[in-house]
Amino acid sequence: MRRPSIRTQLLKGTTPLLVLTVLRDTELYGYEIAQRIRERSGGAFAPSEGSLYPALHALEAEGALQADWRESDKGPKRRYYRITDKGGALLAEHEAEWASFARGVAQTVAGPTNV
Amino acid sequence: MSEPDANPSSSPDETPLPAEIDEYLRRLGAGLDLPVHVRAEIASEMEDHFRDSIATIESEGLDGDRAAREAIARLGNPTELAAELTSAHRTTRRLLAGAAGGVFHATLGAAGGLLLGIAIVAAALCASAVVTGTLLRPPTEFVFAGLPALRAALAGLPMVTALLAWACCVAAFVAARRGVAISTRISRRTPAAVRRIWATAGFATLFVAAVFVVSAPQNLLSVLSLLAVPFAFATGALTSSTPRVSLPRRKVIVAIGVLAILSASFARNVPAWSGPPPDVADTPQAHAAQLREFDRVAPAWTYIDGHPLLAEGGGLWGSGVITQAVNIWDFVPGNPGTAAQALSLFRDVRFEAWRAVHFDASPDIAEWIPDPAHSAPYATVPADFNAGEINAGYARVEFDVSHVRTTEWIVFVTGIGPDGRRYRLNEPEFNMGGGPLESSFTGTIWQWLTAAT
Repeated sequence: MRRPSIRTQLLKGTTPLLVLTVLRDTELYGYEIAQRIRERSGGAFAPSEGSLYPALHALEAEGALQADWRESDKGPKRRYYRITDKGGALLAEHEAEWASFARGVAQTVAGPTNV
Repeated sequence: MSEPDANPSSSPDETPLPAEIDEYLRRLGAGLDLPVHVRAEIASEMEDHFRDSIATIESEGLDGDRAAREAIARLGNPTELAAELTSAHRTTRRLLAGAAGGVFHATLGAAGGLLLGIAIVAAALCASAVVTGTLLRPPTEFVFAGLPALRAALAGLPMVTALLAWACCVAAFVAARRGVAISTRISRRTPAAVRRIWATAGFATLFVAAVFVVSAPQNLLSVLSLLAVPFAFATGALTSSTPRVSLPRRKVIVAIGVLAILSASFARNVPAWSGPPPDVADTPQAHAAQLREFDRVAPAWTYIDGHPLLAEGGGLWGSGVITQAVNIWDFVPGNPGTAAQALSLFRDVRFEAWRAVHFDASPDIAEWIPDPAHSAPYATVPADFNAGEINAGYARVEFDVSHVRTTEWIVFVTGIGPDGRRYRLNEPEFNMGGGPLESSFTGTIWQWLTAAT
C-alpha cells in the first residue's frame, strides 16, 4: 500500500485554514481559490480539488462562508465565496492552532531541548 | 448563510463540455443525496470548475481530450466527491434550523389554512342553505329559506365540533406542505426523508392530541372529523412532492375574500341564527295542549296563587349526566310559605328524567314534551331538600347508544301526595328554562369511546 505523503495529509487537515486565509480580504470562486492558494505557496502546494469543494460547502454550512451566484468579469455566472464574521473568528482560531502546532513540530524535529 | 440569489443554470457560457465531463457530472449528481435545487447548484459549480480547469490545462500544452481527463483526475472519484459534498451539507446546524424553520412556517401555514378552512366551511354552509332553500322548498320562498333546517342541524354542539375539525383538516394539510417545503430547503435533506419525518411526527402528534387532549362535544361525526385531521396532515406532508416556499398568494387571498363575502352575506341573512327560541306560550290553546302532555307523567298538584309548588331552577347537564335543582317558589328563610307547607305533605319526592320529543301542537313552536313512546321515566333520582331548594344530585342518563345523536331530556319533579297518588310538582317548560336537557357528550375521543352507555 502506498503511504500518503506528509504534505497530502497536512493539506487535508489545513484546507479550511488555507481557504479562509485566501478569502480574508477578497471574494473568490472555487477554482480561483485553488489557484490563489497555489500562487501564495509559490507553487509549493495546492489543495486537492476533490477536497476543496466539500471544504467550501462545509464552511458555508457552518456559517463561516457566504456564497452568491454572480456574473464574473469573464462572462459566466460564478459562485463567489466570501468570509463572514463567524469565518473571521474561525480563521483566527485556526491560525493560533496552526502556529502552536507548527512550533511544536519544529521543536520536535529540531531535536531534544535542554531542561 | 444565504441562498444564491441567481439561477445558476442560466450561465451564458453554453460551450458544450466533453462527453467524459458530462458523464462525470451525471455520476456526481446521481451520488448527491440532496434536494434538487442544491444538486443543481453543485452541478453548475462543478461545470464552471471544469471549464476553468480544462482551459488552464490546455494552456499548459495538453490537447482537449487529455485536458478533460486530467481535469477529471484532479477532481477525483465522482462518487466519493458526491458523498463528501452530501456530508458537508448535512450539518446538525442545518437540521435544527430546518426543523425550527419548518415548524415556524408550518404554524404560519396552519393559521392561514385555518382561515381558508373556515371560509370553505362557511361557503359550504351557504351552498347547503341555498340548495335546501331552493330545491327543497317552494321556489317562491326566500333563497335562504332552507336555513331553519340548517340551524336545527347546527344546534347540536357536536356538529360545531365537526365543522371546526373540517377547517382544521385544511389547516393541517396546508401546514404540512409548507413545513416540508421549508424544512427540505433549509436542512438540505432529501424531500422523501423530510416528508416521512413530517408525516410520521405530525400524524402521531395530532392523533394523540385529537384522541386524548381535545375535549369537545362529541358524536360519531365529530369523532370521525377530528380523526381526519392527522390524516390530512400526513397527506399534505406526503404529497408535498414539489417543495414550494410560497403559496400562490393572490389566488388564495381572492378565494378567501370571496368566501368571506359569501359567509358575511350568509350571516347577515340569518337574523334568527342566534335569536331566542320561540315561546310555547304564544297561545293559550298550545299551552293547554302541552299541559295535557305533561299529565302523562303525573297530574299536576293544585297551583297556589297561580303557581306550581316548584319554580325556577338550574343545574348542569351533559355527558350523559343531569344535575338539576329547583326552588320552592315562595320560600323565604324563617318563613317557609304556603308552597313549602304544601310540599311537606308529600313523600317520595323525586326527579324524573323523561326522553323528550318536539311538541307538535304547532309546527312553529319549538317546545318539548315527554316522548309518547315511553310510559316511564328513564332515570329517577330522590330529591334532596336543602332549605328552599331541592336538588336532584347526580342523575346518570345515557346518551345515545350509537353516540350518533344528542338525546333530549325533560326533567319533572313528582311526589306522592296525601291521597297516596303521585303528582307533578313543576312545569318544566316554564320554570326550568324552557328547553330540554341535552345529554350530548363532551370530552376527548378516548373518553367518548370508553364512555359507559
